[in-house]
Amino acid sequence: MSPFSKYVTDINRRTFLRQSLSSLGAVALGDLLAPDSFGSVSTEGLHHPAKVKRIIHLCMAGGPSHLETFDYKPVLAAQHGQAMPESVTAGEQIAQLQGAELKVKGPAFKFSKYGKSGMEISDRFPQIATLADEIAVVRSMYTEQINHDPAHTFMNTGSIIPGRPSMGAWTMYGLGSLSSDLPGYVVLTSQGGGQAQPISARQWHNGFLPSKHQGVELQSKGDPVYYVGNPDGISRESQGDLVETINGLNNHLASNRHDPEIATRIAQYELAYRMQASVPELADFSNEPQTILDMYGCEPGDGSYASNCLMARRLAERGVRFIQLYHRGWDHHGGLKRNFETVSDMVDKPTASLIKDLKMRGMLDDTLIIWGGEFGRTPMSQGAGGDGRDHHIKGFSIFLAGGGIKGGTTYGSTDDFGYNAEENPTAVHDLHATMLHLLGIDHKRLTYKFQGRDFRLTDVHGNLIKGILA
Amino acid sequence: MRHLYLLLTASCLTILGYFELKAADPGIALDEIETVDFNRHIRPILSNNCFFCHGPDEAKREGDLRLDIREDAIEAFAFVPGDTEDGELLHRIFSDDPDEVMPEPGSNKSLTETEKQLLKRWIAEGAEYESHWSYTPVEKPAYKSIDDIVNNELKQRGLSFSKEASKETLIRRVYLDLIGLPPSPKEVDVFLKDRSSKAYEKLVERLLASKHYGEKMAIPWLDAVRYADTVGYHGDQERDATPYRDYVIESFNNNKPYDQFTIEQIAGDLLPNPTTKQLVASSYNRINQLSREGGIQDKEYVKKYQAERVRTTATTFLGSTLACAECHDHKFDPFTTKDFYSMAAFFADILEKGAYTGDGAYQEPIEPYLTDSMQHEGWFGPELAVPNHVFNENAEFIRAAIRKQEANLAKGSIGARLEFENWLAMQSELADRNIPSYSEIEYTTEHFDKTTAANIVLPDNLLSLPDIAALHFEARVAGGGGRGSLGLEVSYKIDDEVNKRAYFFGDNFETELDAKTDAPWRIQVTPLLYKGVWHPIQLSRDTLNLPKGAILVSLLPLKGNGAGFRNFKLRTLRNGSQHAALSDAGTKLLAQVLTGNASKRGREKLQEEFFIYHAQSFSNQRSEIDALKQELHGDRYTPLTISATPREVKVLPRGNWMDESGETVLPASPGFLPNSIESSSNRRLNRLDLAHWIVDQQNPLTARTFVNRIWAMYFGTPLSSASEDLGLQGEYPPYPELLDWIAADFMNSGWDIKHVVKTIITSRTYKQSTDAPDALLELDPYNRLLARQSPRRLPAEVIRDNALKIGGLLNTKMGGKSTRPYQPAGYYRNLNFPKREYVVDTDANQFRRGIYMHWQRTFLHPMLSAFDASSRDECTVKRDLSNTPLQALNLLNDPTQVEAAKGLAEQLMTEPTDEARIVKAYKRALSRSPSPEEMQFLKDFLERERVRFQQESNQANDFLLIGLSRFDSEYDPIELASLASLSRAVLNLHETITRY
Repeated sequence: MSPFSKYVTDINRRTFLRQSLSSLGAVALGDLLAPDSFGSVSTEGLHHPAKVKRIIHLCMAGGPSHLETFDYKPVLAAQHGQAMPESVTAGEQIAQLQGAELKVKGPAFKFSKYGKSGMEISDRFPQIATLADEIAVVRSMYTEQINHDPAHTFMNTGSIIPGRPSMGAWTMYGLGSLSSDLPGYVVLTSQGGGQAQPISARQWHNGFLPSKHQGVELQSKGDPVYYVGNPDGISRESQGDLVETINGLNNHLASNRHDPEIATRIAQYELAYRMQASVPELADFSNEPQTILDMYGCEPGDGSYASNCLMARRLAERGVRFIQLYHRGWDHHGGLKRNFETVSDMVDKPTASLIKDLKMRGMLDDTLIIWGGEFGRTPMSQGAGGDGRDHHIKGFSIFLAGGGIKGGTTYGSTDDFGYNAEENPTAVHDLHATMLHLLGIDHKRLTYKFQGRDFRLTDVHGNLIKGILA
Repeated sequence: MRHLYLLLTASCLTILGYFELKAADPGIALDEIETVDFNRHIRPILSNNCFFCHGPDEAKREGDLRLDIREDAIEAFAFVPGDTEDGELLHRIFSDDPDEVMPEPGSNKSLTETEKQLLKRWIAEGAEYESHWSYTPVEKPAYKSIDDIVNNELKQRGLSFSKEASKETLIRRVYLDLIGLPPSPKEVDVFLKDRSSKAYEKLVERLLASKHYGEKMAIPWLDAVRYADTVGYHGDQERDATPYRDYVIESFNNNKPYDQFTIEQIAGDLLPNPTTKQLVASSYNRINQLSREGGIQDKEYVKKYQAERVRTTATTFLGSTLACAECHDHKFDPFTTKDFYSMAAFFADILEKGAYTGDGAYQEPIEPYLTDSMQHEGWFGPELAVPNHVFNENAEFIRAAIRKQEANLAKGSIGARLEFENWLAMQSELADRNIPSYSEIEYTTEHFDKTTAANIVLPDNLLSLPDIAALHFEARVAGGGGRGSLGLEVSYKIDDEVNKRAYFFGDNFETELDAKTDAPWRIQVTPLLYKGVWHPIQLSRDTLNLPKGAILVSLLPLKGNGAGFRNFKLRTLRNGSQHAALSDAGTKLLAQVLTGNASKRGREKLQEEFFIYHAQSFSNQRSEIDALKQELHGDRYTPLTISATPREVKVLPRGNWMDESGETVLPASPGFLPNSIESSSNRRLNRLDLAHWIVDQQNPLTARTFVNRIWAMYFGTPLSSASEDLGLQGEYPPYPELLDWIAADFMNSGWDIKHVVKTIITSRTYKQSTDAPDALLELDPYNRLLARQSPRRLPAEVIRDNALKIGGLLNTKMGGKSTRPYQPAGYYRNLNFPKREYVVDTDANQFRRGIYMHWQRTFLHPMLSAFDASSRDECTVKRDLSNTPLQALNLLNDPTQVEAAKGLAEQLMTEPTDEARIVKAYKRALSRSPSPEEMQFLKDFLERERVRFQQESNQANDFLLIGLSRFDSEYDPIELASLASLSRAVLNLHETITRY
């Protein structure tokens, strides 16, 4: 192989040079790196020093009720069962309650105060509550889309038009990965505790950004990454020999052809082969002590949210930049009490354990955790016995934790009915701007030209949520 | 200076090479630019830096100054032509005062020194404006050919064409580019031996005539028109549109002129007496994403669909970013918000719902529009049933196959003859007992409107089971909310005890119909029911499978959501069998035979009919024939565009669908473009007018947009690098004359697509080698000067086709329903409403071309996704060409690839030596012989694999079991497995997935 290797190096250098020249204006590191699509390192931040290296987005798909989690409303309890004041709902967009009689529904669960700040948290989150001084709750989120599919699209891409890049892809485009043998943007899904609304791969798509920035979905069963397992009957040794042979021949080709893609191809085969080892190692929980498994409350690889939380920590340890966990179980149009109990049991402990585990390992400081759904739920009841809530977009809660976040903060508020964000209304674009800011990126300067326009994750919007920053 | 220009064009990568050469090369100083050219030099500066605040968007305009119109700029004293002392523009851009300087310090924009000097010189030279290149009429530049234009430019730069690629390279290139398949070694040999000067042209002619040409051409077209098998939003349910895909392929193959092609898609339904194919073409309007998510607002989704159609139509046909004008006037191009909604108004007549749930509503009742028996209301609006033979390329071939197979059955067999004699005896006995052929069951239409179905009690005198051949009826699902399932509960008596069984039609009965029956036995009969279609269903005695001696008591239709049954009848065995009734002629012959009046020939004819349609002995052969008949006469469905009373279209302030305050608009084309059209008080324009306006020769965008994308198919980069935007922010093409020359030639030829393709493919420019001296590579890294060809990775679909062809597995059957090749298990686990299991094709459909693969928008097949295919949520006119480890994993481990490798290995088994085997593998995959180094490399690897498989021979067997195809059992599994390893290496080569 050696006669050709010099040539390849030469090509590498040239490719790199070209790509860096061409990216000068955009200055997006994720795009500068060549030829290996996963392996770039930036810990410094793109425009200013970064507070965090990675994001873990715990997406509570279906839309958790803010009124049963972080936004306690005594008025709702007092007026439970009464007609919802028309002054609040007149002219507002309503989903499944269109045309229905609108009645107030009081909180289904008790709230208590936790931590030094006396943060109000539902009794359904006893473990998360112990972290009240670590987390910042934003109670004044609002979004623009009232149905699941477009609301997820908006939460991920800042646009309601399908086909725009997701925030993970933007992060990859801006910063690249920290891992040399795993994808930089990884997605896991789990379900339980209510009807499982569908989730589309669109939510982790690269949109118009180069496709190397798209999220890779990790399976809990079968090959963790599609096609990462050797064909039946093929040993690792044989596969390794195959890859070496392919690369040897590709090297030979590089000596005859002017095609810079050959060098990249060679690097990708090497990386693929490394992934064939690193991915199974990643998915193998056998070196996790029982105490850790108990702490999260999972059987390794059982596909549960708890198992995915543990996986998130393992991914974080291995340099994965953007980790998204979807838990599909929060769409409680009916049977809210029972379903909420189920899903909060599934989510509370693992979420808290993930934060504690990261903290224990000194990694919480450079990780940003975002917990929340695509929207909230109505203060009005829905369905048989009034034991449900419809989709709601004018005010809902999320929480953040980790590097750069001021723990013990309760930021913003909704009105007495938990309907409209009142104090410090916070847009999805603001969340995106803040997330990028903590990664060391100025959201106004991370752009990509498409359709003749410099596009941004935050479009023409976005303000930092300064009140939650340390 | 280089860097200055780099910043200017920073994110538009492909422009870089050009500007380096043209203006900003360190060797070319500013004063070497002879005249400052507005389109080339000035407009990009103004557009990038100034138009945002001083451009077409009135709402954003600052200081009442607009710089995109010369007169306005002069009037506002922005500049005085020829005078560099006066005028605000120069004063501001050269100012050091942060309060004065332009662009504003906070705008993230700034001018380089070169840009400032260019503006100054331009004003000194008179500040002439030019119309934006793509908005001026297409005129054919005075050149003889593509090569003439390129050669002229190259000569000016002291460059020349690269040498022509070798014949081996050329034939593989032209095969992959034109039909998306590699040439066979034999085809390569024929071409190499053909020394005639016309050899290449003949080859191109032959490939243009190949039916596979249309399949290749359809790939980018289907991306643009966002064709897929599912609705995209939320539950991403399936909805058939495959006839539309076949229409596209056929149109390219028949070289349908592009104007006609455009008209049929946008307005085929509005043509006088539209043909089935023209109706299918107009599915273009309705293959957008749709939603039936619970709780969505009908009106909101009507607006979403409306906006999406404008985006797709503007991008596909006009290369325009009209989409930007949904919420505000366009920032750079002269499109107004009103233009956006006026364009939307063309599509307002389309009969549709916003929400395909119980809550959605058509703008007026659909029933009066469904006048044709082939049209019905489906789960996602109006649908057209399209008999398979309409687009079947092989209709005659299939008919011949059916005739041949039936003729074979007609010959009979010993067993079948015996059956015939027994059957005659039975018929005689049935006749003696006066058993009728049919027994009608009273069941009228009033029954199927009821939500709860009543038992159909069968009359006492009804026939006993041994005489029953089949239960016939028609079933239809309707209604809004649920999915398509129906059932029939059958009660029967045996030994005075009543038992039940239930038979289900559709695919979702558990959830919908569970409560409606307590029958313990459930049998699913047909997998899919189309909403609104009366499906004829036959439950034969074998399917009913009731115990011996059972007597039917009653039938209970099980229905969800207003579904219906009709035309129940029991057919007896008299004059037929459980499979079918005898033909009229057969019935007469049978009567003659039973009464002893038949001629010898008559008896033979009856016997033949029996063999073909009734004999149990031939049931396997009969199901093969039935499948062929289905392929011809079965229906597929496509979304139907029905023109109804148009909905009112209003300008939506900031794009907000809830804001009703905007003005109502009527259909009109964007006003600034030539020959614009608008509705008048006595005539509302329609989609047909729009289509005619698009293909008007005066429309400056249509031909340029299409040929720009055609060029990209053969060179990688379009002539203007942003296919989706020929507007002001798009790229001023490095070869504007070339784009215009081809566009003019295209229109002059009568929009002849094959003519354009042939003109490009037979040009010297196209035939150049991809190899070039380092100096040229450094000078022009993105090959915008066209002094060589560019290597290009194959598109996702073609990567698949190529491997299957090399492996000898490719099934070249065209069209039909979508196919489902291997896909990792559980890939659809995040889908719901309904939940879905992907069922892999286990027949020859497994080996079909990529273009026919099932296209699930929310979870595109991971192989397609890894190789940058578009999920087709939205119009896409450019695919990325990434190079990732996921691609390597796919080529290494996807069963499709492994099976192709096995297929190639089998081809190699017959060769006498390892050398011959490796040569053959290379010829099949790369159309060339290996070099000595490559030969040695692969020989060594093959030998190592042999040793490994010998040591672990069961591994060879495991390996060879992958996939559906089974190898010849004569072959030594160790040898075959070793050659399959060798083949994997060959299929994974960069060269194999690249066209040079």
